[in-house]
Amino acid sequence: MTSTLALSRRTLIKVSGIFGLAMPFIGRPASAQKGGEIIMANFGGGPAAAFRESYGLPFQNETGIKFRVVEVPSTETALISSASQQQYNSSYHSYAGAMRLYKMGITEAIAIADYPELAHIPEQFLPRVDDKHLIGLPIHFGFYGMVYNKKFAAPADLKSWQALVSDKFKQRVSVTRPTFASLYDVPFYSHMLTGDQKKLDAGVAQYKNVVENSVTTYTSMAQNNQLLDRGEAVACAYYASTVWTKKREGGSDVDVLIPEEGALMTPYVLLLPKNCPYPEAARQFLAYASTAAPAVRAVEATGYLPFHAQAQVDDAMVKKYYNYTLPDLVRQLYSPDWGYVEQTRLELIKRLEAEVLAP
Amino acid sequence: MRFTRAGLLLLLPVAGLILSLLTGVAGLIEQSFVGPNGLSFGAFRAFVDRKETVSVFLYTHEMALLVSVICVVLSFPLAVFLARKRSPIYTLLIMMPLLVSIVVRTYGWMVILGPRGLINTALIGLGVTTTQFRLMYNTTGVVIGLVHIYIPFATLSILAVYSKIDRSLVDGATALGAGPIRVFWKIVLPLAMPGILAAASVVYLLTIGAVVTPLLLGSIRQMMLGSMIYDQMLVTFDFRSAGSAAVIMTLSAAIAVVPLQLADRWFTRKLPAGQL
Repeated sequence: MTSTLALSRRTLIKVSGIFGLAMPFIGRPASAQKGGEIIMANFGGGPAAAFRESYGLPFQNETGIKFRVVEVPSTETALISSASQQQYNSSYHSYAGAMRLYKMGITEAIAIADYPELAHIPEQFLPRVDDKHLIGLPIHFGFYGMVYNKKFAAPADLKSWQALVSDKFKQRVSVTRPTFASLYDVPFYSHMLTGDQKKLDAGVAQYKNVVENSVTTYTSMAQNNQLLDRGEAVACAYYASTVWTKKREGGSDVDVLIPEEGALMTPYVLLLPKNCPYPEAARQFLAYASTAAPAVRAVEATGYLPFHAQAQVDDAMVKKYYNYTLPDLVRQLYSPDWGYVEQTRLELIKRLEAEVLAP
Repeated sequence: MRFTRAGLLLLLPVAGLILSLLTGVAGLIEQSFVGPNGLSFGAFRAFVDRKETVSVFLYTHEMALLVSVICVVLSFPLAVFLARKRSPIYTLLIMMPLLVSIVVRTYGWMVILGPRGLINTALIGLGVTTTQFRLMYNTTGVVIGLVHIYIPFATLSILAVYSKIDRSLVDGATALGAGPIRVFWKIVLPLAMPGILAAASVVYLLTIGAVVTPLLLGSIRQMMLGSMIYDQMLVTFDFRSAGSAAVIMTLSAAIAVVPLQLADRWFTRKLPAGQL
């Protein structure tokens, strides 16, 4: 049987040669497209779909430049792993993640002068590299609120973040792992308890107390959504946008509130990877994304609220899904120095692991 | 050794696989040994110096040992049952869980073992207890999940050896007056030992590298080396630490199964001619 296989050495060499010649082109995004293409790395699920509908397709219709979202578990990992031959020319990140990538030399700064719409973004939300450059384009924000199951906890019980360490909720709250607590929980607790996000001792102690009071430390949003839905975790510090999405999809017992100490703002940026394919198209897309219209369109699908001062957001919708009007919400949100968060993150993760893992 | 051209062609994917594996491993080793100023053992020193990583390392091996022992104990009667029934349907039933993703099976356990899961709800509903049992988010949950996932591997390893045991040896021992327990200890167990040791080795190695089950059924205190490396690689991009942890994990796993392999050889050598 094997002897009938007609494969000469010459054919084998030819096939190998063709394959070898094709290698430089394998893995590169579809080439030879007029005007290029936008290939965005984004988290799977809701945000990816929202970007496609609110940003991508209108941009494609307006410019003729094709828009594609590649759903990845981690946008930072996606950019780092393809850094030597960048696959993406647009990417969506948290502020701290964006700062890390910039420091690693994976992304390039954008010039403020190139994006006039940035004049409508409040100064405190601009992730500056220097006077003339930003790490990326700030587009919208969510918040890290007290997310709870209404069947098992009343808002009155959750007036303070200290509820998460109370006996009443012993083994009934969930908490994120040190890798993400270093980004959100600890900087916020530090600020909440001392008025200074840099006084990390207080935040670390508070996080440790929450871990000891928790039923488990969740490892993914899917897991925590299930914990909250089933009431196995009654409350936790968590992304409010999950509540928005659940309510929009037809209701659930999970709701969100902002305790008296406030809540953490979670801002997001679009980045321009270094050595990316179609850099001009990518800059054109960033200019489009800096306008108010796409961010406003994305609000309903994601619950993320635009930074753009001229964005007209339906306040009734915000109140319906978040229980607060937009101005009321913004007033209660705390925005830390994300540069400091990023700068101290790796050491903080090690410290948190030592606190909760060491025997 | 002579190969036909087609045979050589078939070697290409094998060579590709080996090359990819070696490239990956070489990259991993290089990353873990190279510091900012060249050759460095800093990442390994950091691993040993941090109490929490040592604790994760020890916990991982404790779990591997525990899960291996439980899997072998539970798999042996299963393998005996399958060998005696000689029906492919039963073997298929043992293998069927392998067709379902580990994530899905682990989520299944979450629904059963959770604080408001099937068991707790039933026990509270039947009035057996008023408080919830903590069946997951602890070592118990992780062990249950891992044993469930790895039992088919252990069963098949034992079955492969047990099914080849010559029944006439058992019949002969019985005819000479040995009771069932004596037959088991003196005949069956020694002859099945290579399969048992192979099962233990396989389960030990698989448990060392477990990621999903400890993450979902355990809590932070049940972190294992696989989960730690996952975080270091994909969340904090600390490739040096991840590389050193992976090297330590691989070496320690190899060292841990060496006694099992030696015992396997010893038992195999002691078998009468014709067995296995």
